[in-house]
Amino acid sequence: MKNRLSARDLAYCGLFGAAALLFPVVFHVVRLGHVFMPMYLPLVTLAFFVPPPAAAATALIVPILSGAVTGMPPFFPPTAVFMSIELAIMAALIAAVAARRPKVNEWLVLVPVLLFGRALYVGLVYAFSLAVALPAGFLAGLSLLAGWPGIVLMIAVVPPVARLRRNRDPKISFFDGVAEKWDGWEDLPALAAKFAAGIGAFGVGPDETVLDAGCGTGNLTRALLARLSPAGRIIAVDVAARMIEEARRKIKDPRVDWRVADVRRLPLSDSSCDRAICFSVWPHMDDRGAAAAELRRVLKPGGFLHIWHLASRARINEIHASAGGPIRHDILPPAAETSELLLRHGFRVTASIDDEECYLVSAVRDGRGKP
Amino acid sequence: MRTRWHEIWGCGRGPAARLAPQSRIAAGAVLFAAGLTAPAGTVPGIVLTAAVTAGWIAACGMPGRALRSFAVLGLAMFLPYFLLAPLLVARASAASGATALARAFGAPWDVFLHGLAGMLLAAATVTVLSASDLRRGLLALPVPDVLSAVLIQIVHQTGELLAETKRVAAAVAVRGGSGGGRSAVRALASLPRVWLPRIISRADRVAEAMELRGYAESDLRILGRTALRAADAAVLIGAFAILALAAALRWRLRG
Repeated sequence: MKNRLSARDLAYCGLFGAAALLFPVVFHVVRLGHVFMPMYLPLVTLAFFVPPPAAAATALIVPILSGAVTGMPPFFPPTAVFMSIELAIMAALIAAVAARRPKVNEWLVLVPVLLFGRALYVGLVYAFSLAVALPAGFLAGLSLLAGWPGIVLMIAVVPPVARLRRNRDPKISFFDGVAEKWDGWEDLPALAAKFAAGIGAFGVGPDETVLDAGCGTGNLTRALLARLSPAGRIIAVDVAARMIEEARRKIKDPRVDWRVADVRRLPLSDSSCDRAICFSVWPHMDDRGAAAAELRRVLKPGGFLHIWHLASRARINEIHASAGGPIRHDILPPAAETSELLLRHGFRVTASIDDEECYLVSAVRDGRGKP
Repeated sequence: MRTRWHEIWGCGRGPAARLAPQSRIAAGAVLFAAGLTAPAGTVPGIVLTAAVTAGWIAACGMPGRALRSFAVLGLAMFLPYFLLAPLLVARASAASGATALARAFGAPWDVFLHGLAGMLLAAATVTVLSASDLRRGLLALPVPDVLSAVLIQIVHQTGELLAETKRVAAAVAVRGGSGGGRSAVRALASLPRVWLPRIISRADRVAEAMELRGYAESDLRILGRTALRAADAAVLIGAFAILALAAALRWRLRG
């Protein structure tokens, strides 16, 4: 099954959908019952955190699932269906705006969407009541009045929580945001040729376990695969989930183990890799000492580390400065400085290049325990 | 009702439980549609709705306790619609006495019959589906992938969160938080500071765990599809026939 949602999106949809089903339990304990529309609260909040299809799908499912399993909301009158429609449209609208304008004031999005949703719901109740010859005006008016406490609660509660999404590492958001465009900015055939030459020069063995730290959209991963035998393995790690998704879409190879992770906290056991390659990622690490220590931990004694760029240091820093946003201060330090740092963290530097064509610091993990 | 989430899934022991999961879901959905389609204003429609509901409940082997719970909830939810009858009588006063009364009670009866039938048919279907059956059944049916993936996750996470929610609810009650008033205000105030941020951090942890275990896009197809047998085909054909009959009854009436 090919779902287009990342593990993060699925986890958010699952948890918030579950909360939408279970919040009413807690609300009943404190005798707030359904007056405050507890099912709406998590679903509207979720819309600020996931893409529109995920938010809409979750909002569409929850009232119907709840109706089937608990009997509430009922299917006839089709309250469950009306809630699904209302919530799905509201969630899609909120998620679309939040995705396009991440810095938008949450209240400006929420209030009009909630009012629109309520109007839609009341309209549906009115139309249905007319169709089955129930007193339409009376029932629609009842729905309108019953919904207000819940709307006020959402207006008060959701924006402060939605603002938490801004606390994510802005670099992750930046790389997530450019993941789909990334390969369009590269000359992929030329890059592949340079990778092949570089990997050959590093002496990557066919049966090695290679850590591709900061794999991005998987271009280096693909070049490494061409070099490895069926016994070889790549652990491709990136902090941006959308980058991993792009890479997964391009590369279907059982030798690759894709992981969303920070290089400072790798989900790998000690001494599990023969080689680690940090291609075009070193400047983006905020704590390079911690990254070096973690890379040393996962490398086997005698394992290789390569910090590599296919442009001059000046060019790299210029690109980052002109890109602006959260990466504008991501500076690639002189190779001598990087070598010094690696020495301090238990590596022996074997090559250091810092010229107009290339930036490379290669090192070998020493055999001692912790440095 | 809501706290019985974990009890109702897969608790049915009737012959329908032996069908392939996709057949159980599809038959349940088709019979649900039939129950809501049959007209409530005619004897054949009422008989068909009642027979479909009772038949499917028996086929699913819905436990008596669950059936009683849903029946009581249904009565509590749908009987109050008859309170609207005075309003409807006033509107139908142009007609003669008996006709006006029939019209006034027609709409509440429609809601009562279809509401109760829909609730029981849906619940009966859930009783013959474990979480694993739901997953296998959904993946074998032409349901959009995004919907299947999200639905499976919600069911899984609800099971995981249920015990925690019960603990929280019990803790709130033990601390005297079940009295409404001030405790209700405290509970509302804790939503943005405690509840929702906790869900976010938990979602982040779950996402990390899913990534760590390689929960990839293609993983959901790993489970094998249960093949359809003659019994599945017979049940599905029967369900569609009942739906066609219900539609014919309604169409004939309208025609």
